[in-house]
Amino acid sequence: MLRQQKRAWYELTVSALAIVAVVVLGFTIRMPQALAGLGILGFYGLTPLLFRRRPAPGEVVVDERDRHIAMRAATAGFAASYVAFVLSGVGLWAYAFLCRGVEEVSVHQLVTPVWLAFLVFCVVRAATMLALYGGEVADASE
Amino acid sequence: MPANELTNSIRRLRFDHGEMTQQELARRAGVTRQTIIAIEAGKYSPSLPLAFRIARAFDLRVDEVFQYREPGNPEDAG
Repeated sequence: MLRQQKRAWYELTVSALAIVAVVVLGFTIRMPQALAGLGILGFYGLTPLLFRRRPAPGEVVVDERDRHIAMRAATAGFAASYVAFVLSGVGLWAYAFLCRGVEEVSVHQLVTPVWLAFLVFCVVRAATMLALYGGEVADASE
Repeated sequence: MPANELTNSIRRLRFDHGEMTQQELARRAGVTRQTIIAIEAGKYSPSLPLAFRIARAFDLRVDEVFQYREPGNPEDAG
């Protein structure tokens, strides 16, 4: 397994743990305190340290296919996170204004679209990367 | 361009060149072994510079290593 695939699996695992943490905390300490579980996403920051490896002399660690896959995965992640951000932002407004009839939202709720967009970006990017390494036809000209 | 429009003879050429390993070809072309595996399997179409580097590793021309099949004309392979 390539280093890039290991990184993708690590990021998917961190994302899954964060989601599980929010759900579990949601049942125990309730929202919005349960959003503290998203702090687990901070472990993304360890990715470069955990998967750093000094290449042997002359060894190619990253080539054009890896860069191509990384670019496509990042594009997919960005597109998905953009949609998630807009929909959650509008959804938050709709819930507050249309359903509850209030014109203010809590600061705890206000950051939710940002967290959601970040989470979606990481999950979609990692999943796309694994799918592309897993055998989908790729083309350097795309 | 779908990748399967581009076929190649890398596997046969490796064996014709003293059973060159994928690792050795990767080293000569300046890519990872996984990329050579993907190209051989038709899962990845290389860029033009990489295609030239692979052809040079065999001392051949690009069109002797890679064949382009025109869509809608399955008999055209080169």
